[in-house]
Amino acid sequence: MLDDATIIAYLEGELDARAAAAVDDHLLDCDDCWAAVKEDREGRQLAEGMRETASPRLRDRLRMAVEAADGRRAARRRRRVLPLGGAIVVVATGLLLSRPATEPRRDPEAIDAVVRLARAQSPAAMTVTRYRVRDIQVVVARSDRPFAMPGGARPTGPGADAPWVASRGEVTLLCFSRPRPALLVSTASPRALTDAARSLGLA
Amino acid sequence: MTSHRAFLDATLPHLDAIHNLARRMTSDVGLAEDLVQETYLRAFRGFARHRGGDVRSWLVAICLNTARSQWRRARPAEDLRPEPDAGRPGPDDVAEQALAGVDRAALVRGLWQLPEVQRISIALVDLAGLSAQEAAELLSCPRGTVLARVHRGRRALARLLARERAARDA
Repeated sequence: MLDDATIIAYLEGELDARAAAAVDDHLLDCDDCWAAVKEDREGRQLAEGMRETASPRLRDRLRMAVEAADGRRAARRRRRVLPLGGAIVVVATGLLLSRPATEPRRDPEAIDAVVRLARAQSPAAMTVTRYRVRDIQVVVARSDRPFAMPGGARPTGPGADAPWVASRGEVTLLCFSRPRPALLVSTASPRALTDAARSLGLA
Repeated sequence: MTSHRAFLDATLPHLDAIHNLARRMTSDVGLAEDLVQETYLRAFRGFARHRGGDVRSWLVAICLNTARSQWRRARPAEDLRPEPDAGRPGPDDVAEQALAGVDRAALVRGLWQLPEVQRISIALVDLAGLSAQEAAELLSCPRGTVLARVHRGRRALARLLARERAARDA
């Protein structure tokens, strides 16, 4: 009977032609070694058959998480700069505020992700609308199916139908399951977003 | 290009490999996705320090270390949840798909019954697609050891499924 190392080298195609031919001959007569080769091939096929493709939802979740982490890191950098350059920042901010904005601010990727998700659905399955409520921009996605609560979200009240809120970096998500599932996404604080939801008749 | 975009461009092509590894390091789809997210966040934090090298192997190493540190105790014994696609056959060839679902569930159970070193080796080589050499470097062991673990693990899986089928057909 061959040892495991020889059988493995045979299966990996690492034996020279002469050695491989010798194993081929041996396998014709040795049931144990043939079983070892056959089971390895079957097991490999079974294991590889378990491969899965990551869902688009997971891909979007990662984009959101990394975007949020990047936002937090940028915020930390800004806080570190403030004690040293606070005066400069204050003056610069004043100058910026005194001028009209010439370039609209790009949405955070988390908001883009919601818009992309909504666009990928059929119009009947999900609609997405942008609102401006007082000073905050809100994207509202509406669907006939409830939105899944992401990791780190917290319900705002008791019961399975309670709205939930999740904050990631500069982005806040607020979700209602009734009367119709609606997901609000904004850079506003949870409190401001809740107020906006009331103004929109969603809360 | 902002840093997170450069990071995502470099790492998202390897998401399937990390996802497959995470699925076999945890028993639950939700836990696996949490593990994938934690892997990506840790990788993002270290991205600025990552200098060249194989991104997939780097991510796999982070996933492996994260899994070992955070999820090892979450290993289930008997309460494996069914695979999300098991038992949901399409309208055609219902019986065949149902059986495939049964086999798949048996395989998942079988994988968890293997010694951890075999399960991890199979996850790295057969599921995440690493070479035996790459897996050996990650596991700090000789390449021959990885090949032997994979070989024994594959044989055990094949025997397990054969037993399951025999019991089902009896």
